[in-house]
Amino acid sequence: MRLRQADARMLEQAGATGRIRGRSLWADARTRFLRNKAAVAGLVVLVLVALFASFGQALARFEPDHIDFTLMGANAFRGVPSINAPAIALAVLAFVVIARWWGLELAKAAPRMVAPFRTALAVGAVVAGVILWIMGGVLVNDSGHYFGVDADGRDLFARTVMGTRISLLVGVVGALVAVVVGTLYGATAGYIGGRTDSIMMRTVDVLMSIPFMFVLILMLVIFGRSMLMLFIGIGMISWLDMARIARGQTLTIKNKEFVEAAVATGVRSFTIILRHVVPNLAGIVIVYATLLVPQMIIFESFISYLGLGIQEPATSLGALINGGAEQMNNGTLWMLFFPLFFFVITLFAFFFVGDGLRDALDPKDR
Amino acid sequence: MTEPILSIRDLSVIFDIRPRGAWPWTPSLRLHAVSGLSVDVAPGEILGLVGESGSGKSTLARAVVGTVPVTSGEIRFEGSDLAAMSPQDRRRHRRNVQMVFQDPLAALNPRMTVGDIIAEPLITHDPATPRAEVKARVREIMDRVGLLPNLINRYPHEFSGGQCQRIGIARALILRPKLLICDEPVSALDVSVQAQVVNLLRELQSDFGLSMIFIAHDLSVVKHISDRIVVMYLGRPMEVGPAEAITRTPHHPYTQGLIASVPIPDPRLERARDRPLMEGELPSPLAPPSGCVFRTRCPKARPDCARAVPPMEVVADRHRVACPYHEAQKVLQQA
Ligand SMILES: Nc1ncnc2c1ncn2[C@@H]1O[C@H](COP(=O)(O)OP(=O)(O)OP(=O)(O)O)[C@@H](O)[C@H]1O
Ligand code: SF4
Ligand SMILES: [Mg+2]
Repeated sequence: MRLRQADARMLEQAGATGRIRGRSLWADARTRFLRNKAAVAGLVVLVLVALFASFGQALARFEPDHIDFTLMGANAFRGVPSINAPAIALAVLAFVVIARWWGLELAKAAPRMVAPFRTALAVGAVVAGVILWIMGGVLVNDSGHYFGVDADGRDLFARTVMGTRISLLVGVVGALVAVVVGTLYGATAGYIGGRTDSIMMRTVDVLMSIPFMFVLILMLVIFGRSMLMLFIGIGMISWLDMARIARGQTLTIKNKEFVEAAVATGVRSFTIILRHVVPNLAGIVIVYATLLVPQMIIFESFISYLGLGIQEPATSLGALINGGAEQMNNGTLWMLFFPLFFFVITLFAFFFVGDGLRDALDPKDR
Repeated sequence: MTEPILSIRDLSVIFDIRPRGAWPWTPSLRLHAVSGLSVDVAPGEILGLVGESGSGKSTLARAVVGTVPVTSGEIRFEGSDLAAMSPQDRRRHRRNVQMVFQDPLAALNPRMTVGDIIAEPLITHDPATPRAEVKARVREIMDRVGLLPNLINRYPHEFSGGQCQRIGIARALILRPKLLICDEPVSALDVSVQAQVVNLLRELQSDFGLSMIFIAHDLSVVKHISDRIVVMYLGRPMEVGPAEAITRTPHHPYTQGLIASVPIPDPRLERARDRPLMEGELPSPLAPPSGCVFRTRCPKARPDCARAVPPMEVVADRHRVACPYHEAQKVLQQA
């Protein structure tokens, strides 16, 4: 929301100085994206989740692999999340009341600030809630296990931070491989065309027809479970769809006259791919990559659910959810709830952002 | 006559079309986009190229700039055969021939700034040019084509069609080419803007001493700017001659039809006119008619016309017609 204001100010200034700097299609897309509330909310959630994953450990009172033997097996009654619900409710209420009063003041002073302020208020309430949750735990029930303890007596907060971090990493690595390899591969195949195109795309078809889940499981069993194996496995599959999408789009772009103009000028093919084809693919690639991240996270979770993913004591959201599901009968529902919460909000946030990007970058809208 | 800058001999461009869903062993369909066309362009000359949509004008232009493969025939630029050039020479040669496209906006990469678009030929052929000089030359050429140089950081979608076409012209001229090919540069523009762009091209042509091939689908635009005109139909030349001769005394029935299809603004003259109107549609270039390709629509067609491709007959100085039964027709000229 701050961005949008900055944008508006820039526009005003640009208008005053005769608008010398052009507005690129990217700038237009950004404006459209910022107008989409669900997408902006998704982006805010993603930023918060990323902050949680990167710096959450600093708030934790335990290491993720620290085992408290006194709690082992006794977590159902002694490892309960240190929640103090009334304190949190009171504090959030106070926050909202104060903010509301401040908002009324603001509405008088600067009416245009109200909409951004509301968003800030909502986000602020969530953040305040989380902080108070932790503070409340510290003050009232000083076990220090904000999210409780798992069956092995380990701090679930620290483990959720770690799991979120690894799941995000898996998703982002998968998407990055897809973006770099898939885009260049698809653009090259589509641009060169003819027999090269046929061979390259048939290769993709063949690779796609291999049941990768099966191959990956075999690999994990044979070479042992490791992060590296997992990344290799995910890298192998993630780029295939992207290559197809990039290739299809390239076929349209290469028939545009600006590409012909470049050919007629004598620009080299590789330069044309990088300068004229890839930037015009960027929109669809970004959208697809954003939607690919949650797919990769789900994929990893499934493998972890089979017990083949990340190796203990490291963990991922999928592994944590799996662990929580196994313990469901023991009355330790928090073991399922917390990882699942982060899993679901992350996925939803990615989907909303991806959707917003698609709308913002779709040239048909223009 | 001086040595021509561009000399096209018996050029044919045939596209192989794979029928949809065909077996791999069925032969491709052959689409005759240009067949057996010969024409010269003298230094400093403007050659007009006229014909209906689908008559192969763009394909001819593309063959000259080298973006479609030539099936047979020869294209010589300043005496050297393009097909015989090594890839490096070919790449170097491209700076001499530049093209302006029909759709002004589609010819500009939407993700690049105007400055980068115009500079592209320069940094491609003279990569060692210092950045400051590139910028200075871009500004200079922008000024030359009537664009404010402070628009250098804008993007194509912020411009009108006419301005986009000026950007395309600036890009084509920054390397000072010897031959400029304009493929229907004004068909996509408003009438009022058309005249501005045509005048600009005229002006630049005489200032830079350019040779030019100017393509259009009707004679009205071409006749003002061209020295000589080639009338094309279904990939073949129908009539070639000085612009005056073609527009005042067309000999070929197709040229006469083209002229008749342009309405005269004066209703009295319009009514008095005897219009040999063309009927029917352009035949498929996949299976062009035998003999004279125009015979399916020619008002003067006779059985003989199906026998052989009519040779080019000289009717006057530098005026040739591909029809043995041609006769001159005086065209009513408006003031
Ligand atoms: N790359 C291609 N592959 C197959 N056929 C083509 C290709 N380019 C052009 N053609 C065909 O060649 C014929 C001549 O096309 P061309 O574009 O040269 O006509 P034109 O005279 O420029 O028409 P217009 O006035 O519409 O631009 C058409 O039938 C067209 O369908
Ligand atoms: S050769 Fe026959 S068909 Fe062709 S233009 Fe002449 S009269 Fe018409
Ligand atoms: Mg054309």
